[in-house]
Formats: sequence, C-alpha cells, structure tokens
Amino acid sequence: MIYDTIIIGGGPAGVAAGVYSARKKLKTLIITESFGGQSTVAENIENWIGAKKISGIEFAKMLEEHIRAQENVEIKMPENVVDIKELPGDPTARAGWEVTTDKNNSYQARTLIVTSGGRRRRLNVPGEDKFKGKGVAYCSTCDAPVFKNKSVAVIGGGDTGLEAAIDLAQYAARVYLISNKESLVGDLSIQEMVKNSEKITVIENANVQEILGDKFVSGLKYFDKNDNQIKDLDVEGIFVEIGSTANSEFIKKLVNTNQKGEIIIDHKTGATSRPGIFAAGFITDEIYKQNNISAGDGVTAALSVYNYLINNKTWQKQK
Amino acid sequence: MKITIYTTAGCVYCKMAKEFFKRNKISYEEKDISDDNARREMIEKSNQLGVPVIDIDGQIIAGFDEDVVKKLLKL
Repeated sequence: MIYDTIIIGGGPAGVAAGVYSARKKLKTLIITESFGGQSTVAENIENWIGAKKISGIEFAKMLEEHIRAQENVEIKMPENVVDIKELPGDPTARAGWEVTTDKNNSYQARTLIVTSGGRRRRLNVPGEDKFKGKGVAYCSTCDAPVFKNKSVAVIGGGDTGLEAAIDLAQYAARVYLISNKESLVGDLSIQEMVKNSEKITVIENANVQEILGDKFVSGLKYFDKNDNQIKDLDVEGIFVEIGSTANSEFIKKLVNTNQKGEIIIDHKTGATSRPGIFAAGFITDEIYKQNNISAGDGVTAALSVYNYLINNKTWQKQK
Repeated sequence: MKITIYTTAGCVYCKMAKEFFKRNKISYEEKDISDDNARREMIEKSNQLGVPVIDIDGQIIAGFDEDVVKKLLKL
C-alpha cells in the first residue's frame, strides 16, 4: 500500500496540508506526535484569523476536529518519524519514499510534506537535565508562582525572555534577566517595562556555563564577557527562554537546510531541494513564524503535491 | 479514590489535566499553589518545582501525561 502523500506533523501547516490534500482526493497519511503545534501551550491566541480569542488547547482541538472530519486521511498519533529512505528503482521514475517511525512501523508514499515544526531550544549546559522540574523550568506562566519570594534567573533577552521576566517579577523576590548579547533584543515596550521594574536586574554579555544544586537548583555559573570572569549567581529557579529550533534532524541528509537547520524551500511551491519532498510552516526557512502563514504554506505544499503527482508517470500508472 | 491536582492559574497542562478528569467523570480536589501551604505540600510530596503535580491515592505524577494517568486509573 502506497499513500499519495504522507504529512509529517500536526500543527497548522500539517493540518492545512491534510485538509487540502483530502479535498484533492489524495490518499493521505498524517504521522504526528500530537495536534496543534507549538501554540498548544499558549494561554491565549488572539491573532488566529477568524477567532477573536481562543486558548492553545481550543486551537489544537479545532485543528484535530477539522482533519478528523476528512475522508481519505488516515492518522497515526502519537507517532514520530525517525528515518526516511528513497524507494528503490529508477530515480527518474520518482517511486517515492519510505518513512520509519519510533514505533518501528514503516509507511510508503509517492510524496512527503514535512511540517514537523520546532521545539524549545535548550541551553545544553551541565545540570540542565538533572535539574529539570527541580528548578529548571521552561514555562513561566505555569511555574512562576512556585518561586514566590525566591530569586530566579531568566535566560534569554528576546521577546519570550522579557515576558518571562515580567511574569516572574509578580512573584519572585528578585529576577535576573541574562542575555548573551550586548543588549536586550526584544520588543521595545516590554524592554521599557523590564528596565522600569525594581525587581528585575539585567545581566548582558553573559554566557551561562553550568547549573548548580543538590536536590534542587541553588545557582548558576556564567562567563561575563565584559571582564572575562566566571561568576556565580544564587538562584532557585532558572527559566530557559532562548527560542525554538527546527525539528529537522531526521530529514537533513535528504534535503538542503540552512544554518539554523530550517528546510530551504521554494516559497512559490513549498518544494524542497529533493523532488517529491515538500515542506511547510515553522520547519522551513519562512521568515515569519506565524500560525496563519504556516497554514497557508501547508495549503501551498498540498496543492504542489497534487500538481507533482498529476505530472508523475509512476503515479498515473498506478491510478 | 482520592485525587489532588496541584495547579497554577496560567498553566495549560493543568487545564488539560482537569479537563481529562471532568471528561471521565472522576472527582478531584484542586489546590492552587500560589497558596503557601499548598505549595509546600506539593514540593514535599513530589520533589518537583513545577506544575501540574497529580496525586492519585498517594501515587505522584509530575506533569500531565494522559497515558500514565489512564494506566494508574485503570481506564
């Protein structure tokens, strides 16, 4: 059994691709860990066009209901693709692809649409794994009250870092906002709030090197690039807010990616460097990482898959 | 069966957990850990500094994983 297309991922790009692929009557499989994408954890989404305000959970449910209402679409969830191989045969015949998953299942398709999005970037310093949930945290809106009257650090001087510092300042005794850049880079109005807060101390030009503690976090070590000294900071909570990174490891050997690990696509068609593999959404080199744009790019990829297939002799023979 | 969920107002996974129990018509007690006693109790029970923590008859789960909770509830 060979699908017309396998969509990898269930965020707005994957679901939009699935809906359009179903409407083109393509035999479609979606393989995903979950539906909703990175916005599922958002408390509120106020810029999804057509909805004044919905929670991340509602957004995820809406996407899941929409895709489950389609005929011709099969869903494997929770399941993750770990490897992809080209099907044997004359490469010019464009036979297709076989994907293998973390459940040791294999599925074959003429085309792929890669929409596996991104995940929170980690610091990758000693202590980060050991103290996860024991002081190292990744969700300030969730866990800020845990650190009431304590000292905490936020790592990251971009928008999410600034917002986390503001969230935490409502509860914590002291908030250190640590940036590895010379100055903060986030939204200017939030920068203003940070600078005006008596509770927040900004530490710029600093690289966090290690997270310290016994049972729970007790502090961190950072390298101060201003005077080339290694310094200690006593904190009980560390919030890591250094952005997201593309989930492209499993496909890097097949398609061209940029320095950030994003899949380079033709923005008119969603085509990657490899015929038959398309991509959309956060995982691509799209500049604006937005749910609405991801959905639109998913539509583009699905329609391009349809055009690719009707020009593909192997597919026509099979039909 | 006695179930306690330790939560905060802004925590999406706490909401997911509560919705799961409501959907399955299982009653639970919610403790918001911005209260000092609730926070102390959660940290002592779980050795965790993050929400949600779910206590199902003394079995402690950090975070919300539907499969793990289902297994404990034998659903």
